Amino acid sequence: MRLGADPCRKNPGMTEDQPAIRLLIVDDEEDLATFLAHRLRNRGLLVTMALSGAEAVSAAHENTFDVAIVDLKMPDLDGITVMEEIRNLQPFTEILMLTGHGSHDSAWEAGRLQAFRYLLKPFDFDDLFDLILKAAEHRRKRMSAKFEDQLESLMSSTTSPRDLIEECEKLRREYEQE
Amino acid sequence: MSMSRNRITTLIVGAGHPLAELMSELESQFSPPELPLLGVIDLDPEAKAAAGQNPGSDRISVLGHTLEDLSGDVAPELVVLAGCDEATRTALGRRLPDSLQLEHRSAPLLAIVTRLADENRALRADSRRLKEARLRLRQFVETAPLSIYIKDTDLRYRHLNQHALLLFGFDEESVVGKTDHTLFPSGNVRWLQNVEQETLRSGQTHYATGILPVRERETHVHVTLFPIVENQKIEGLYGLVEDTTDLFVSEQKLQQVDGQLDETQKYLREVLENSKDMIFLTDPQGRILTFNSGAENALGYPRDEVVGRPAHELCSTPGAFDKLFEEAILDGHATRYEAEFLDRNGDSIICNISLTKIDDHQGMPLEVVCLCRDITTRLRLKNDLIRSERLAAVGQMASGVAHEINNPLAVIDTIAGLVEETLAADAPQLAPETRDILMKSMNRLHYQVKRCTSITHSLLGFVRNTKTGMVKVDLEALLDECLNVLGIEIRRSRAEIVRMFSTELPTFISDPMLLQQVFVNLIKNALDAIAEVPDRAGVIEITTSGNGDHLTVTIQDNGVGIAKQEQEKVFDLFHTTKPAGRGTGLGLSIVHDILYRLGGSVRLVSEEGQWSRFVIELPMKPPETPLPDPTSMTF
Repeated sequence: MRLGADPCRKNPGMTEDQPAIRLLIVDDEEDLATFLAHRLRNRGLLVTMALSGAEAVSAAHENTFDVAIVDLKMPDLDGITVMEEIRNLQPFTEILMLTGHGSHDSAWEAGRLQAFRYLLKPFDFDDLFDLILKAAEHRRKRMSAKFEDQLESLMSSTTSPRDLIEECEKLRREYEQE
Repeated sequence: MSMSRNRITTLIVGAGHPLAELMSELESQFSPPELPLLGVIDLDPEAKAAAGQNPGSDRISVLGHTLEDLSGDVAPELVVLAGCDEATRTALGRRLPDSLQLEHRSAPLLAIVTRLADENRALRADSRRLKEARLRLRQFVETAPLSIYIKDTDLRYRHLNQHALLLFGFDEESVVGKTDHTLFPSGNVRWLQNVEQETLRSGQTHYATGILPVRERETHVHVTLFPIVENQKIEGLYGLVEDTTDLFVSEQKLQQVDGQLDETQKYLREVLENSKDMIFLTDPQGRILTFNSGAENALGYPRDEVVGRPAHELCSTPGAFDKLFEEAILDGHATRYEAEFLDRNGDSIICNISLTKIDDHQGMPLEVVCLCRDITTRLRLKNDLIRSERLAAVGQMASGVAHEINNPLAVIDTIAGLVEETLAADAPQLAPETRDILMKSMNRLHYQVKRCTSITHSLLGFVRNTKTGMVKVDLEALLDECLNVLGIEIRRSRAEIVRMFSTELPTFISDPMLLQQVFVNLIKNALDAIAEVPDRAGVIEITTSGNGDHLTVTIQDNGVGIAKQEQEKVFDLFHTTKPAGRGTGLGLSIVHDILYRLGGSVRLVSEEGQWSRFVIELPMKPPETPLPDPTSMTF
């Protein structure tokens, strides 16, 4: 049974102790952004909408997102630039790139390497939802791996136990905020 | 000697004739030169009486001659007796030699003498003419531009004319009396000697041709030999010698030129024979006279089978050929860029044809040279290119449109999903029928969006500027992978897949992702064709083969087949024969496009209602310079 096949499940794939996925939808096609946000909120996601590249970047300044769905082609900033801006602010945010276009130019190629996945419009909603969950899970894994790495390097460093505790506390706060 | 040229007449005059009177009469009538012609013997009465008994008697009175003279050296040719009685005549006849011709005349003496003088004058004139004729003949022989010699029966030279002396390079004295043997000790003149001897033996005219080693060079001569016959006896022979050296040299030159001409002809024949082009000759009625090996190879007919047949039988449209042929007969030349010939199997061969009329020396049409170049492959390549370019243009536009449509489609689909979800959540407030019809509507909405999506996504496939990853490809593995991908569809259709793969195919360099797209599309196409004939057990036959140059894959199905007039169009964009909603008209266009870019090709052979076969050819390596990518431009 595919995830999300039952529209009544509000937040499938989420365990009790995990908070709702924070999602940013970036698309100049207002109808798509609006209705997609509506449906995803119905599935229990915390959705923020941005109708232009600039809006998306300012949203990323204000809030942290687990996943962002970004349209490749927008009038002000293209999707690749938007993705890079968000990544600069929030390195762990996973990007799902949406495009109505199949062309693979060099920007496409570059984007493909950075984005979690590319989706061709029109997409299957359930597929999209599935991908959002996978992207969020992927982000979580990346973060904990990084956290453990840093923790380990702190442990092996020569700082005093008091400093160490302080550093660990700092790191924990950092990641919790993320 | 001058006398001997005239007739000597002796007149014997009988007794009782007044001789003195006669003499004076003669002197008055005749000029002195004419007189000596006439010897007169007077028989006086006594002599006449004694003539029978004593012919040598002095009593015979003689004027000019004595009777004895008549049997001597100056014997006259004619002896006329005048006024002699029969007894005297008889007596004289007995005394004179038998060879003397005696003639008795009984006219008056003067009349007889006058008459004799006239006769003599006439004779002298004849003699003069004869003399002139002989002179002229001699002159002719001496000056004729023809070498003439005379030899005796021992084949010694008796005479040579000036020309002959000049030819032989001798003067007369050193030649006359000698044989060829002594004259030309070093040369072989046996050939002449033999014919000369034969001429002498047979008395017939003979001819001989050979070489005379005269003047230290080989002189080619033609000799006419005929015998000299005197008193029915062969006394020698005449030889007429023509110097044919110049003729001989010209002939040799002619032979040389002939030889060169033969060489040229041979060369031309070889060019004609070995040409890869089809070349044949016809008569002015269009019947085939010759047929080169190029034509044999291209059309599959052996020469013997077509010679004598009308050339238009080889064409798909004989009328068009006839028209072209007429044009060539009228104008001397006619060409057509694309003429269709049919080979022995009935397959079409497109040729560039050129007819040239050749006239005989009287300006009448002799034959027509037909030169045909097979441009089938070139034409196919050209059509491929045109098709690809057309695909590129249409594809670019289509993908642009597809992009614009994808956005609204995404909105529609998302809204449809939202309505569906809302319906499901808030169902209790609706009447079940309303809910059902709304649910069903949303379902159909999804379905229709999917239909649109399959078109727009296929269209975008054109523009997918796949960075062609050229790697070694194992054809068999690739085809099996394609069959795997289509596993569900194949099982559903219950089609039997017959794999006839050549066991020893080399790997080749190509793009496996693109090729997979090609084969998946073609196998899908075969499955669709089979689905249209539900009561026939479907079979898809896939074969592979290769030569060192390229690989060939055929994919054949026993499905619905494609009508002849549709076959041309199957690779055209948006052309589909499938029912509405089933085919997008893109699959085969993409196949064609991909193969073109990979340097390969695809052809369709089909029998309507029976089967279709796609023949895919792939190069062992992709083209060095990438073919113009019709879809490299992006929007």
